[in-house]
Parts: sequence; C-alpha cells; structure tokens
Amino acid sequence: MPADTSAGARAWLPLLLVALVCSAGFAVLSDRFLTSFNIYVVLSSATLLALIGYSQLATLAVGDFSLAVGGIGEFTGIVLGYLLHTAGWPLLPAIVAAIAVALASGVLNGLIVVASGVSGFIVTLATGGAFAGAALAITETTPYTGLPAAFNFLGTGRVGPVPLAIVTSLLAAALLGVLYNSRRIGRLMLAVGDNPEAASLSGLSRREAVLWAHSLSGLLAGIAGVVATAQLHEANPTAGTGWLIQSFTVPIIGGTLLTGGVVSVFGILVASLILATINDGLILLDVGPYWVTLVEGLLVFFAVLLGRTRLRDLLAHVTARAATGRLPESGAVQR
Amino acid sequence: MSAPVTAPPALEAQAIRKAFGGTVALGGVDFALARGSIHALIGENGAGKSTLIKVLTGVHRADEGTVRTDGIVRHFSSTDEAIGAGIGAVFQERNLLPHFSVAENLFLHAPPRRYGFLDRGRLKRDARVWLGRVGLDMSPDRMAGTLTPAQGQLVEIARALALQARVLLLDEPTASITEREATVLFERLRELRDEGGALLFVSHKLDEVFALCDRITVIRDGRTVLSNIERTALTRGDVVTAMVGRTITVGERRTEHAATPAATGSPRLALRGVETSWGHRGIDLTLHAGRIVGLYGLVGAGRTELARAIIGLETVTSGVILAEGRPIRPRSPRAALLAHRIGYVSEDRKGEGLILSHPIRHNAGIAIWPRLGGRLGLVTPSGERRAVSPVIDGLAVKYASLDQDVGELSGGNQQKISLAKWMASDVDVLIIDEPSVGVDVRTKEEMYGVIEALAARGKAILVISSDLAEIVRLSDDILVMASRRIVSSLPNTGSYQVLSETIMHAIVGAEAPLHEEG
Repeated sequence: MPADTSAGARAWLPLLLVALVCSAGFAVLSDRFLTSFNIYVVLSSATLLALIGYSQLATLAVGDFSLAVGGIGEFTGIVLGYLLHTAGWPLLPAIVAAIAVALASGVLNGLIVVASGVSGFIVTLATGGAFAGAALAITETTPYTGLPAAFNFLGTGRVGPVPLAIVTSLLAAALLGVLYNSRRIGRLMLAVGDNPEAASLSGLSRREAVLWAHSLSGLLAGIAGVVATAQLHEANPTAGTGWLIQSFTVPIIGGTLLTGGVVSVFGILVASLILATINDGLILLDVGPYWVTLVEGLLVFFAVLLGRTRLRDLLAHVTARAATGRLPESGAVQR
Repeated sequence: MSAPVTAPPALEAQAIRKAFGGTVALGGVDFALARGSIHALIGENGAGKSTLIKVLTGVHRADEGTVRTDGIVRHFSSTDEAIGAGIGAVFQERNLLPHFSVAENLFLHAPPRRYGFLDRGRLKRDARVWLGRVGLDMSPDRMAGTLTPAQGQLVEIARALALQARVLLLDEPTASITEREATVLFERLRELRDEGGALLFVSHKLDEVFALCDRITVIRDGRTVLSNIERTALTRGDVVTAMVGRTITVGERRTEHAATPAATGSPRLALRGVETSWGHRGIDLTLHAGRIVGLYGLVGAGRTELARAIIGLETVTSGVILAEGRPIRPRSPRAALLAHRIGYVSEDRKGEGLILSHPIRHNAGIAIWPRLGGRLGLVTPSGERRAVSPVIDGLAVKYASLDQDVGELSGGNQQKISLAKWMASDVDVLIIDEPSVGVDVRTKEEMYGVIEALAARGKAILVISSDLAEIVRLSDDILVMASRRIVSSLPNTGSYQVLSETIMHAIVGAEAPLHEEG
C-alpha cells in the first residue's frame, strides 16, 4: 500500500514489538492483565484514541493542524445528549444529526482557513475554544445523564473481550486506508501535503485539499465524540479535555509526518493500542497516573527519534531486505 | 529543421511587458520557437528570464504583448491553461512529490482511474512508456524522494511529455546536475527535437548553449537584445557582449586610499592553490586591509561557491587558506566569524541578512552584541543606539527613529542597514555577494559609499559581482572567474572599455568548447 510504504510510515513496526514486550511484562507482573474484561478495557480506550488520532491525521495529511478536535468532540457529544435527553429524539436520527453538526463544524473550519489564508493552527485555536465553550454554555457544566440504555450498550457492550464500539475505529481505518491509497480526494490531500508547489503546478487545488481535510477531521472528531459519550454513559462538556495532546501523540507515534504528505492509517491503530496498553498496565501495577503521562511523553520522544535518526534507515533497509530478499534497488539513468 | 518553413512557430512571444509595482521586469521581449528546434534563452541574473518563463506558463499575466502557440493567440490566466495549450515546463527547483511513486508523479494531473479508484496497474504500465521516452530505466514504484537531481529532472521531462506538451521549457536544467548527467540529458533533448519537439532552453552557460541549441535569444534588463539568431551566425564573444553590454554610464571610480599601504604586511586573507568539492582548481586570492578586490564572473562561474568554501559551507579539498599568514580552515560561518573575523554578506540580504520585524538599532547592532553587553551581559536600547547611530548617520540612511522596524524602510535603505551592521563589528575580512542586485541606480551609488567606508575602516573586502561596471567602479584589483578557475587577475585601471574587452576575452577563452557537438 503505497501510502504506507514510505519509511516514516513504518516507524510503528518496532513499536509493535514494544507493545508485545510491555504486554508480556504486564501479564507476568499482574494476573489481572490477561483477563477478558481487562482486554476489553484496553480495546475500548484504544478505540477512542484511534478515532481522536484519525481526526488529527486528516489535517496532518495536508500539512495543517486542528486544535479543535476536542472542542468539536465535546460539542458533538452535548448536541447528542441534548437531542436524546431533552428533545427526546430517537437514537439513530440523534446520532446522525450530531455527526452532521460535527461535519458542519469541520467544514466551517476549512472554509475559514481557505477564505482567510490564516493557518489552521490559529483558526482552530479560536474555533476549538468556541466549540468547547458552547458545550459548556449549553450544559452549564452539568452533563446529560440518563441516556437510553440502547445507546449506552453501543458504548460499553462487548462480545467476550471485544467491545462493540471497536467497529467504529476499524471501519474508519478501512475507509481511510482506501481514501488515502486510491481515491482522488485522498491522493489530492497527500499530494498537497507532500509538496504544495509541485501539486499546484500540476493543477491540483490546495484550497480543495485543505477544505476536505478540515471537513474530514470534523467528521472524525464528531464520531469520537459520540463514542466517548456512549462509553461514559453521559454527555460531558469536558470529555475532550485531554484530546488535544492525544490527537498529536497517536499519529506521531504511528508514523504520520507533521509536515504533511505521509500518513500511516494502520500506524494509528498500533499507536493507540500501545498507549492504551501502557496506560492500563501502569494502572494495574498501581503506578500513579502522573507516571503514565511521563511514559507517554517518552514514547513520543522515542517515536520522533526513530523517525529522525539513522536507526530508521537501518530498519527500513532491514525490512526491505527481509521482504524482497535483496537490497532496495537503485534505479539509474540509462545511456 | 523538419517543420515546413510556412508553419507558424510552436511558441511565439511578441513585445511582452510585465511590471511589478514600479519595477519593470520585462520591457519588450520577442522570440519565436520553431518546431523541431532547440532555442536558447540566455541572460544574466535578473535579466528577466524567470519572469518570462512564468508569463509563458501562466503563473504571471503579461501586462502587454502577445503569446501565440501554433499561431493561436493565448491569454493564460493559470498554469492549467498553459498546460492545456501544450506548454510543459521543467523548473530549476525540483517539483516532485517526494513521498509519491515516480509513476504517480508522472500522472499527477490526471491519474488513470477505474470506478473512481486509482488504477495502479495502468498507472505503472503508462509510466514505463514515458520513462522509456526519456531513457530512464527504473521501477515506476520508486519514491520520487530517492531520485538524484538528474533523475528527477528526467522524470519531470517525462511528466511534461505525458501531459502532451508540444512545447518544452527547461529553466536552467543543468544547474544541479553533473557534466556527465548533462551529456545524457542533452542526448535526450536532441532526440526530442529530432522527433519534431520545440524546446526552449534557458541557461547562462555558453558552452552548453553552443553545443545544443539551434537558435539563440538573449535578454538583458528585460528586453531582447538578440532575437532568434541562428547559432552558427554568432560567436561566443557576440553573445557575451549582448549579455553584459552596458549602455549606462559608469560611475566615477573610487579613489585609492593613499594612506593604505597597497600590499605590505601579511594579507588579511589569502588563498593559495585552493581546490573545492565544487570543482574550483588552483584558486589564488589575496585580500589586504583597506583594499577592495572585485571577483567578476558570469552567473554559474563558481564565485558564490568559493565564498561559501572560505566560510566553511563547502568542502575545501586541497590548498591553504591563510588569515594573517596563519593557515585556517573554518568549519562553519560562525567559526569563520568568531575565530577568524571573516564576515560573509549573502546575495539574499533580505532573507538572510535582516530581521525585518526588529528595529533598526537591533539589526545594525546584531554583529556587535557580545561587545555591547555591559557588566551583566545586558544589551540595553540606549547602548545600542549609542553604538549604531554614528554608523547609520554616516550612511545617509533615511529613517524616522532607530526604534523603527527595518521592514518599514525602503529596499535600498534596508540594504544599507544590512551592510552597516558590519561597520562597527570586529570583522577584518568581508565578503560581499552581489552588493547592488535589485536596487536602483541612485541607491547603488550609496551602497558603494558604504562599501568604501568599510574599506576606509581597514576591512579587507572581496566584492562578488556579475556587473562589470560595478567591479570597475569599486575594485582596486580585479579577479575574473570562469568555470571555477581564476582566468585573469588584473589591476583596475579605471578604463571600462579596455577592461571589459580584456575580461570578456578571458572568459570566452576559458569557456573554450568543453563538449561542443552537432
């Protein structure tokens, strides 16, 4: 899959190893780690982390940022809570409407960025604050509780160790994989992120790419907002507080480039699994929550180093060799 | 030429004019590019070549004049329209997507699809065909970021061909490739010509132009001075004269500083037999305190690269650099500046020399901060003002207050500040690259005043310029560089006429056919 074969995108390979080693360690140290319920807990939080990561990945693809991931997520959750709780809408229309609001928020971000020429970082710093503020204002900080049981089941229902909600992140992974590999819009976004001048000289529209990126980011943040609401059994206006950092942590660990043009859709799944595993393991081992943050920070550092240093080239070389049984070819100008 | 004589030119420009604000970039350009020919467009830096290319490819719109392709009048308002009219361009900088495959780069404009999905099978098959056309034998799956500059260039030519380009514009195609790679490239270009292609070859390298091109158009100061002349009807000397010929009067030559001992004592900086990884050979150069040496050469002669080698940005492979008689080998500009007191003022002063959003006093004092720092190491605004105001006032910089941001000053005054900051500094040697590029005649004269003032303060100065009038105006001694060698070293007699003839002969002699063919 060409979108995933560049060196940056393979940074998750050694991380998968890290996850396995950590898991083995946790399994030895705690007999609660390999229980069906604990695996469900890990997969649940990994599901939400992946969706948050995908929301940021969408803007990173074109070389832009969104600081509104958390704000849109919270706002979506509150809209959903209001529709279900206060307005008494049926489940499906309420979810569709809430996600439509998220999409509209993303489109709005994209339109402002494209029309103003101001970077997405600044635009979403403002709008993200506004969305989060709206969520607080609507609820006056009181969460909507008492959501329909069917909705709560979507969030915390499980088949053995597998949460039902995992369908959302797996489906997002599959669709985004196809989008970035094979669809015009996906290739357009990556092309603009990779080299805006070259893309523009080939007649590709940067504005179109940026608008799509922010729209997609809003949509995915909304889905994350709905999943978070279902998992919490309540629409909480502060649910997205930690998402800003996570939205960057997950793609960076997964091998998506901050500079644009390279995304690793599969890397997001691996990275979110690692973060969820480590988080869970450290809690099981009664390590304080502050250490969890420290470990996450070290992981990002490790991932960035991996992307920057010769270690990465070495790994790419070794994997290429293992895959093809020969050295990477070096094409030459033929006389 | 295979096309019938009656066929209209593949690409024709008539009386093209283009101004940016008050600056006239193109003031009347005419040329006609015939099918089955390679046409050279030559001119010095700033002559207007790049602007012309941008007009022809729809990046800029011409203010006046007509562009025709195959006799049809065109008004391009976007690059898309130029591509649609069959104009393909390969720019100086590589325009590939580094993380996309070669195949996808070839068809970025309109990739093959099936049911809305990218058809990777057909993409690869089609790519092989076009890669074959330019003689590239590589996997179409290869990431473009792993290509050498020469390979990337051929991929871009293949891309232009894949877009059904019937006119190919090549902007300085050999700027970043080796001579051997250039030979391969030229073979491909000749093949394309023989198949009836129309190629515009933008360059300033005479040997390449004479080896490859059928016709030559020379532009200078935004106008065509030679238009569509058969190569065989021209000598190198004709072309050089057309490129650099001057009609403006030369300013009064600076008076030599009688007080300065001409060449006594050990030189501030000397190069002896220096060779570099860029291909400089046997470079000898001597800079004395208070004297200005002019390093003249056409663009691409290797002057800037030599300066970069002196301050450690390029590798010196052999020979010695002496500062006050002691051998040195700076590894970075910082080391050159701090340990050896050698300052380099790059051509791009706006980008590299000034902090536009900072006040004048900041910018003018930046090179002397360590000295300005008081007992606590604090640089105070009043201290800065005291140190820089005599310097600035001496240079007739027009400003309202020293606290004004440099960005608010006119371009000429900005340039003065960027040089003025060296005035108070501790550098002994100052290398100034193209001191007056892009400034008007009056500001030029003021810049010269700054440089002379620097010399009067005892700095040893090397001025790099492709403006011969400037060299004659400023220098005590003149060095002429061509093809990365010093081909002539002569004292400045102040006679522009005699010097220009001597220098042009030296350059033309040095540009003796390296690989003349066809």
